[in-house]
Amino acid sequence: MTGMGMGLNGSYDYRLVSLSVLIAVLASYAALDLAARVTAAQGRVRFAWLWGGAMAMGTGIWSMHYIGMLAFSLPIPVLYDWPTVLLSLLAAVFTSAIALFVVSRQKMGGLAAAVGSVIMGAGIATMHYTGMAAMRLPAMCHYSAIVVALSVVLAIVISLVALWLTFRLRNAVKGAWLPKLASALVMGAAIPVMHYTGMAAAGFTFTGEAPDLSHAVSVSSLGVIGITIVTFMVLGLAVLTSVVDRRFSVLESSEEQLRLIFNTALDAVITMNADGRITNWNSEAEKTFGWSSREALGRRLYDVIMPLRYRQERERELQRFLETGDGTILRQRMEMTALHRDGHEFPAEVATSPVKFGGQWIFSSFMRDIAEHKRAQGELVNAKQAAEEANRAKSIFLANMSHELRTPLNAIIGYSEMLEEETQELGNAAVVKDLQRIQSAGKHLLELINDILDLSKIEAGKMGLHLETFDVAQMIEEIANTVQPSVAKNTNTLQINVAKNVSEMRADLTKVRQVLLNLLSNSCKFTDHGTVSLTVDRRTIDRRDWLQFEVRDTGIGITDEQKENLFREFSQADTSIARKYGGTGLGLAITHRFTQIMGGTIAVDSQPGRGSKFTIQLPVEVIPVSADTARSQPPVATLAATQPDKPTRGTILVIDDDQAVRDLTSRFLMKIGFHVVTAENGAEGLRLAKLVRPLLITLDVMMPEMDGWSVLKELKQDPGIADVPVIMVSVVDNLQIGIGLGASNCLNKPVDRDRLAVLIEKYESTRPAGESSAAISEHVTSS
Amino acid sequence: MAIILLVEDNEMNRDMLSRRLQRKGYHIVTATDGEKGLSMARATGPDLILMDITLPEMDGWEVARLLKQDERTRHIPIIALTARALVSDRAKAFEVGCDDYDTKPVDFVRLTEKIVNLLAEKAPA
Repeated sequence: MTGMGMGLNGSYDYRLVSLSVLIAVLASYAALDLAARVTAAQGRVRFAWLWGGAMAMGTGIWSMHYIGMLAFSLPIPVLYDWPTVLLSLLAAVFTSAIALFVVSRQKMGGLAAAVGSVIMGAGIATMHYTGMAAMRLPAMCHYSAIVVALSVVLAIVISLVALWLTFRLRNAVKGAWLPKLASALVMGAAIPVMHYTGMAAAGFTFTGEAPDLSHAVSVSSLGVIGITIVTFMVLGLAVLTSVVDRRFSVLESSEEQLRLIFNTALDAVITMNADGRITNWNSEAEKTFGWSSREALGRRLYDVIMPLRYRQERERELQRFLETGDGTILRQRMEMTALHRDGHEFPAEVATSPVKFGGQWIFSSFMRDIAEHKRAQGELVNAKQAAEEANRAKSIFLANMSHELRTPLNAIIGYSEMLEEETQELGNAAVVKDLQRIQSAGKHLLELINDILDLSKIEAGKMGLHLETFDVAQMIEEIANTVQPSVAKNTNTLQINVAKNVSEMRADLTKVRQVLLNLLSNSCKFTDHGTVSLTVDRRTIDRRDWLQFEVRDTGIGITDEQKENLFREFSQADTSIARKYGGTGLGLAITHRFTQIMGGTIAVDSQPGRGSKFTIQLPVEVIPVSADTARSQPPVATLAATQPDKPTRGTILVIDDDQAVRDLTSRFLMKIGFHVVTAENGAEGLRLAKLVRPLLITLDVMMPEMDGWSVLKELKQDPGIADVPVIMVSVVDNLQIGIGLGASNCLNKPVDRDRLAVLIEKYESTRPAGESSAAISEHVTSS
Repeated sequence: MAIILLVEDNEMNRDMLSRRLQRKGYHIVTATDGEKGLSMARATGPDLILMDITLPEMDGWEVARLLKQDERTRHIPIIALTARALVSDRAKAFEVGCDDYDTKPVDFVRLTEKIVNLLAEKAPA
C-alpha cells in the first residue's frame, strides 16, 4: 500500500480521537466561563482577561486539532514543519480572541453575530488548513473542494451556535452549571465534527519525493502526552482563575453595592464602633456635616458632629449603653442639635440602631438636616396665623361696618314710617304706597346687614349664647304668629304639631326662634298653595334628651346638587332663585351655624317638585360653649360631705367669709337634700361657680378684698353662669341695688331659713332637680 | 302726659324718634351727649329715659350707672338702646341697672310697647 502514485488510506486511533473531543469540550467550557469574566471586567483587566482567555481557548482548540491530526495515521512517516504549526496556533488564539470579544459585549446584534461567526469560522478553517500544510510527508496532499467548502460552512455554523450559546450563558448565575456544561458538550462535539470533515477533504497520494525537512519535527507518543498535559494545565488554570476571580468579585461587588446604596441614600448614613469612632460616612454625611469621608473616618463621632456642650452627656450615654444595654435613647428617633464643619449649628433628626456584629457593638445612624423643614413648618404656622388674623380682621371690619350702616338706615326706616303715618292721616293713598316701598326696602337691607353681622360674629368667635329656660310650646305659638303673614302670602296652610312630651328647653331663645323662623319663611317662600308644617318632638339619643324640630313643605324642593351648597354663605341653590324669590343666601348658613353653636344638628331631605324637609335636633339642655376654662382642676375648697348614693336636689354654692355662716348654711342646705360647695372669698367663689355651675348661689355682700357686688357683677358677665340665680345675703337693709345688678333676690342677715328654703324651691322649679351635678361631669368630658 | 328724656347724639335719629313719640302724645326732652343727659335727667326728673349707649363725653352705661346710684333719679326707668344684641350688651344693660333694653334701628311698635309697660309699672308706686 505504499507504491508510487497510489492513494494512501489513513486510519484513526480512536483513543486519540476521544481525547481530542474531550479537549474540545473542556476548551468550550473554559470559553464559556472566560466570556463571563471578560464581560464582568472593565478597562485593563478586561483586556488581560480577553487575551488570557484567548490564549487558553486558542491553545485548547489548537491542541484538539493536533491531537486529531495525530489520531490520523498514514502508512508513511509524517513530520511537521514547526513554524507553520506555530502559525496555526496563532490563528487559533486570534480566532478565540475575536470570539470572546464578540460575546463579551453588552449586546450582540444579528450583524455582530454573523460577522463574528464568519471570522471565527474562517479562523478555525485557517488554523486547520494551516496545520495540514505543516505536514511534511513523501506524499501529495490534495483536497476535495466540496468537502473543504462544507467544512468551512460547518466551521461558521458551529461558530454561530457557539457564540450564541456563550452569549446567552455568559452571565449564568451560580448553580446554573448544568446548562453551561450541556452547551460545552454541544460545542465540544461540534468542533471535532468540523475538524474531521476537514480531514475527510484531504486525500494523500504517495510520491516518494523527499519533502522539505528543513524545519520538520516528528511527533512522538511522548509529544502527544506533553501537548495533552500542557493543554489540560492551561485550560484548568484558566477555569480555576476564573472561579477564584468570581469569588472575589462577588465579595467586592456586594460591598460596592452597599457603598452605592449608602451613597445614594437621602440621609446621612454614619456608623460608629464601640469606641465611638466613625467607621462609615456616606456622601450625604459629607454634604450635611462638611467633612469628607477621608477626614471623618476614624475620628470620634461626637467630636465631629456635636456641639461641645452636648458631647460629655452623649459619651456618658454611650458608656451606659455599653455597660447596661439600656439603649432607649440610642434607639429612639429624636431631634438633636448638630454641628457643621464651618461651626454653624442646625437641628437634625436622627435614628440610631445598635447592632451586635462579631461580638462588637456598632451603631448605625441615619441623620437628616431638618432646618429647612423646620423653617417651612414655621412659615406654615405663621401663614395660618396670618390667615386667621386676616379673617378675624375681616369679621371685625364687617361688624363695625354693619354698625355704621345701621345708623343712616335707622333714619330711613324711621322717617318713612313716620311719614307714612302722617300721610295716611291726610288720606294721600298713592304716596303711602311709595313710602311703604321705601320702608320695605330699608327693612330688607336691615335684614341683610343683620345676617352679615351674625355671620361675622360667628366667624370672629364672638357669638355667645344667652341660655335661658323657656316653654317650647309658647315659643312655637309666637313663631306661628310671626310667620303668619308669610304663610298667607302664597296662600299656604300652616300646620303645627307639638308632641305631648315637649315641655321646656334650656337654650338661646333668640337663636332657636331665628332658626325656626328662617326655615319656616324659606318653606313659605318656595311653596305656593301648599302646606308648611312644623313638628316638634322629644327623643332620647345616646342617653341625652333632644328636641327635634321638623319643618316640612310641599314646595319646589331641592336637587342633590343644590344640597351641596345649601348651608354655605352667599350661595343660594341657584342664582335664578335670587331673582325670582329674593333673599340673601345667608339664612340657611346662619341657621346651620346657630344650630352648631348650640350643639345641635341640621339635616335636609328633599324631592325636587315634591317638597323639602329640614330636621333640626337640639339638646334639651344646651351646654354653654364658653366658660370651660379651669374645669379640669379639682375644686380646692371644701366639698361639704353629703351622704353618698343619695340623689341630691342639686348643688348650691355658698360664698361667705364667715366660717360660722358657711357651716350653718351648708348644714341646713344639706339637711334639706342639697349638695353644698363653699367658698370663703369672692375669687374662690367665682372660680367654683364656673367649675361647678351650681343650681343657685348665696352670696355675702360684706367680704374683704372683693365684695359681693363685684362678685355679682363678674358672675353676670360670664355667659356660662350669668343665668345662675344669685341670692344676696347682707346685714345692710337696702338691697334693691342687688336686683338692679342682676341678683335674683336678697335676704337679710341673720338668714331666715324658711325664707331661704322657699326661695330655693322657687328657683329650683325652673331647672330639673339633680341637673347640676350631672351637668358637671358631662361638661368635663365634653370639653 | 308722661315726660320722656331722649339721650341721642345722632341728629336724625333724635329728631325722628322725638317727633314720632310726640305724635304718640308724649312730652319729649332731648340731650345730645352723656353729660348733658345726666344733668338733664337730674334737672327735669323725667318719667322715663331712652338712652343711646354710644355717646360722646360719657357713654350711656356710665350715665345709667350714675343715675341708678343717685337716690333722686334711681326710680326713673331707663331703656338702653344699643346697636345690636350682643349677649354681653344685654347683660351689661341689666348690670348697670337699666330696666329694659332694645336694639337700633328701633322697631317703633315694640319700643312704644316697652315704654307703655314701664310707665304702667311705675304708675301705682
